Amino acid sequence: MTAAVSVENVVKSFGDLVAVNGVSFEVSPGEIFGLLGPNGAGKSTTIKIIMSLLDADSGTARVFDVSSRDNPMEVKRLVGYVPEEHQLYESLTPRQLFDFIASVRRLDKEKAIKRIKEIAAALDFERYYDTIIVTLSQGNKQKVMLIAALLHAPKLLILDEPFSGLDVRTVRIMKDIIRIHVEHGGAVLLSTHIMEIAQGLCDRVGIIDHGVLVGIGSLEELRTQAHKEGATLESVFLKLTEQEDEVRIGVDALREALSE
Amino acid sequence: MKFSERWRLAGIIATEVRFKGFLEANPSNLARVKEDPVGISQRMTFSGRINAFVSSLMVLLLAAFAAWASIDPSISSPESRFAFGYSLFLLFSFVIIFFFNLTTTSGFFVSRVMDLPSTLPLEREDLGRLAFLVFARVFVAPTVAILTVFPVASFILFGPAAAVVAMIGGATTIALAMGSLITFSRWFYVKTHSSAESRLSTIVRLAATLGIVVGIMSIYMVVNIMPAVVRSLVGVSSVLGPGFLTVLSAAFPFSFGFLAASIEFVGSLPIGTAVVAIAAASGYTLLGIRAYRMTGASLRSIGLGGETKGRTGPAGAITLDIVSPIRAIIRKDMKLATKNIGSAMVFAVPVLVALMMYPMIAFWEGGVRSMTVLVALEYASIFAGILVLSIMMFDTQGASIQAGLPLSTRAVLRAKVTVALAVYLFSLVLLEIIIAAQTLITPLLIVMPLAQIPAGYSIPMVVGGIVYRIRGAGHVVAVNATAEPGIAFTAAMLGSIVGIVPLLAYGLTMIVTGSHIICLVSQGGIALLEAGVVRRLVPSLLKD
Repeated sequence: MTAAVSVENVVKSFGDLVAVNGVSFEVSPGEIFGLLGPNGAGKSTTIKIIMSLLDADSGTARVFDVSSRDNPMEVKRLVGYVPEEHQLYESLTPRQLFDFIASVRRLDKEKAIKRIKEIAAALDFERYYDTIIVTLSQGNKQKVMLIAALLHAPKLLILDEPFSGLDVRTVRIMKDIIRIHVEHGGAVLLSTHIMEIAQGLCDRVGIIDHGVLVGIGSLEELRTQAHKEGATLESVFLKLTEQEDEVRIGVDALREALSE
Repeated sequence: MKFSERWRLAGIIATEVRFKGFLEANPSNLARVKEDPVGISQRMTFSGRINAFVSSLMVLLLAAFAAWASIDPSISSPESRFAFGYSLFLLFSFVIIFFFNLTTTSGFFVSRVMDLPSTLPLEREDLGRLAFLVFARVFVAPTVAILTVFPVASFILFGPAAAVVAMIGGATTIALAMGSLITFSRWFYVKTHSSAESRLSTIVRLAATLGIVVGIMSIYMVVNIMPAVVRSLVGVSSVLGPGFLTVLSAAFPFSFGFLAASIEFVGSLPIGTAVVAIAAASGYTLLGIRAYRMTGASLRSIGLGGETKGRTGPAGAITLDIVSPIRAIIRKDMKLATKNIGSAMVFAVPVLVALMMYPMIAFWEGGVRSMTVLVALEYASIFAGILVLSIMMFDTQGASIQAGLPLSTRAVLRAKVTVALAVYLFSLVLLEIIIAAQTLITPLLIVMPLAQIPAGYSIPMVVGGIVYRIRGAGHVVAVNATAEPGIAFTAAMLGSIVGIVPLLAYGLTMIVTGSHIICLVSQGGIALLEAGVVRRLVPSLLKD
């Protein structure tokens, strides 16, 4: 079966900084794959290479066997992408924005309207349809991004920090949307900082640190790799990224500062 | 809280207001602020200083020209020329305060700069005073200039009474300008951030933007010819008689001018004019005080959360209006352009071209010749080069949306070229009207702008393609014409080079044949050929 995402030995540098260093992984159809890592680890850079927004120095990234470098337009047709930043057209309303997206994607009008109606109802977003985007809360902007990404019924969802700024209800709906998408044969690649969500949602995770993939597999496989039986994903993550001691020192310093 | 402490805090907050106003005025700054925060901060500070310097310099020039007009012995009726010189100074001071600070003031509405201070242990009254001081600091340079330069000049030239009237008139003008500015900015902000979308509101926003450009240009143009304006006004007054002066003395800011003239030239003006001027000036002064007080109250309500900017009505049914991708880009760009003063300047370009070219065309010695039109068309080409950059600025918004869309660079450039072509055509239409209204050595000159139409395609294609190539390695990239003088210069140069090719063809053909008809065929033919070459070559510079 063709992998939804296939990344092989990808290297990307910015000047002297090697942001991604030989990263390889695959995401299969019907799978939720989580990309975890500390700030600046290289998660977003990897996702941007898959999305053809950056060219890798070496290595390949493919989406359903379509090369990200050689055929960026086709990759973007196949993927529903929610980036980390919320740089929307803030002076437009969601209605105007979705008009734009549906037109560029040349969607069937009736199908697209039906889809928006259903997703907007699920996300309790209908009342904001004619509200100028700049006035929306972070959570509602995230909903705009999510509806925009789902509008064309993509086979692959790539979500960069999709849960930031969302309320409890929307996080729950978002998780259900991801699960339903996968149940219907779709694939999801997501990056997140929230370990509990990754642990409860992802079939497999890849942990990136300083541009290197330090661990990959199911939670059980990662526990074995970190020699931490029965540990939480957070504990495994800190072990594999060698941050346990840093965290301990930081907490001690804070305890001292706050006790004064 | 002590005044000095409040003044210092207001300075910090005023910097934030300028910063947000700077971002609001030009969307591309929004993206650039992340990649070069120090640079953008320096540019913002520099821009603020330049703005203060330019507005103060304008006041200084205005005062000099007004003083000169007031004492110019070549203008008859000393009391009238004095009154008009005074009044024009106040009138243009109003315009300077209003237009030069419009974008900064709109920053006050978007920045929500008082949110943080309102969480600190400050009295409500202190917060209100702080909000007012923040606003006052933004206006400090032109305000100080208006309140010092002209009164001092009046004192030296005419004595203490004239200086006192200049001071009161100046203060009233500032108060009324600030009040109008806040009211207009608030209206413009609500209009541009309102969900209600109609053709009428778009037209109103565009008209307001064009008004800003024309307002600024009118200052530059009229200041230099102020003695001539005063002479014309004195001439009109002598024809219409003393009744006209009395009516005029009731209007702002002429009442202050006639009040000063009544004091300076006792008995020269009709007693009715003097009485009306005194009454009207007193009324305007009271109105100024009221505007000043309302300004404080208005700002306090905004600063303390009195301003709402949420949705204005219930959402309509969920529908979609699907068009072709190119039309979708253009439609989106147009909506963005009309909601931002900085971006909407695009539509003011034809007006700027016409305003700049009119004196040259109208006063060309010996009537309009082919050389006159060639020069005007070359200027239009330079503007067209810069115009493309303004259109490319729109892409700084919506980066997250564009990142996920299958939008080819060629399609984006094609959409930009379409908008640029439409604006360029409008510039040509305005030039055509100006040219047609003059005495021409041959009516065929009217055809020259028409033969240049293909350049409206070639110029944006070349500028857009090369800028995408050098700045984005062939990908869509947003640029800022005002913050990046290097790129703006390159665009202007490219515009001038591409635009001059058909014009050179016209000129060289004229030297060889001396026939306007052959020249026009040559110009149009080369312009079409150039467009064909551009259409073939430029896409090879682009990457998806």
